[in-house]
Amino acid sequence: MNSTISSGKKSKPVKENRFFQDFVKITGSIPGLIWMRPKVYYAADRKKCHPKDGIVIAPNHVSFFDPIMVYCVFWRRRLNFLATKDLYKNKLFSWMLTTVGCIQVDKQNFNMRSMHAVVDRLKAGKAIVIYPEGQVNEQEGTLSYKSGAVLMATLAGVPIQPVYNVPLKKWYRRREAVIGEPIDVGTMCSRFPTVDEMQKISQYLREQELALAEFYETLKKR
Amino acid sequence: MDKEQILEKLGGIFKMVMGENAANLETSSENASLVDDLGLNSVGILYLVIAIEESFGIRFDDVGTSDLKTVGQVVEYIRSKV
Repeated sequence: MNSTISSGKKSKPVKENRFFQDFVKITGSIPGLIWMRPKVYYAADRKKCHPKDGIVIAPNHVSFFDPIMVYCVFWRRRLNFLATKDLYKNKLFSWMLTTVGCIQVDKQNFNMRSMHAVVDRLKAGKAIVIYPEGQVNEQEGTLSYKSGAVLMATLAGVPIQPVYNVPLKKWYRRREAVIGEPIDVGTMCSRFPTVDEMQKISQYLREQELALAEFYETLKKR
Repeated sequence: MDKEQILEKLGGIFKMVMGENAANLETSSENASLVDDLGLNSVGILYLVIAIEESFGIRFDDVGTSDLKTVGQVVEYIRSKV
């Protein structure tokens, strides 16, 4: 067994700097707004699409710049992202990611400390962005959804917000996104669903994402 | 808490996590692999650990999904914590 298992180390609370988080959000969003010129469509009542409580935001992942787009869409909220371990190699970048509220995750060996950090923040009413595809999808269509987002939402008792990022055909084109109504996972399963049930809910979430894509295509044909 | 008691409790947790597909832990050896023999994926292992935490009242802070490979390792970890 890995030696770290029985080491009994206590997890360090992640220090989040709200001032710095807002500073990065504002200064980063100005060039983001100029470059992306984001356009947001709502597939449901606009108020319902912007809940103020804890929520898992689950967009499809079409580009490395998606986090900036998500920030432009949900600009009123402080968002928490999951950032892969590799991004923490540089000390300055590591400090910056931690300070803006990112949660470090190891894709190959997902640590329980990261899991607790996600669930604790959701329970505290924060918004966490999780890409259920698990990677940037450079092909057409949507990849299969992993059930991690559903697990985290179920454990924290929060809904999942489907967001459809419209894939870009040219880098300079305007970025568009469609927001759907949050899905209350708690009504779809028991407090402790089985792994298969969670997989089915993930599949449902993917179908909702595809429905948002269809909604977008219908809007464009009008 | 001895190994048998932990295994018995763990069997119930497996049933909750895996539903009808849960393997019977009494017939599984402690060397049974969580992935290959019990059919858990990485999310399943995370969920299993969360369920163990709630059931045994312990916290697995420094464990990753790849660290727990067999039923025996899970039992040993629980024994070190309870």
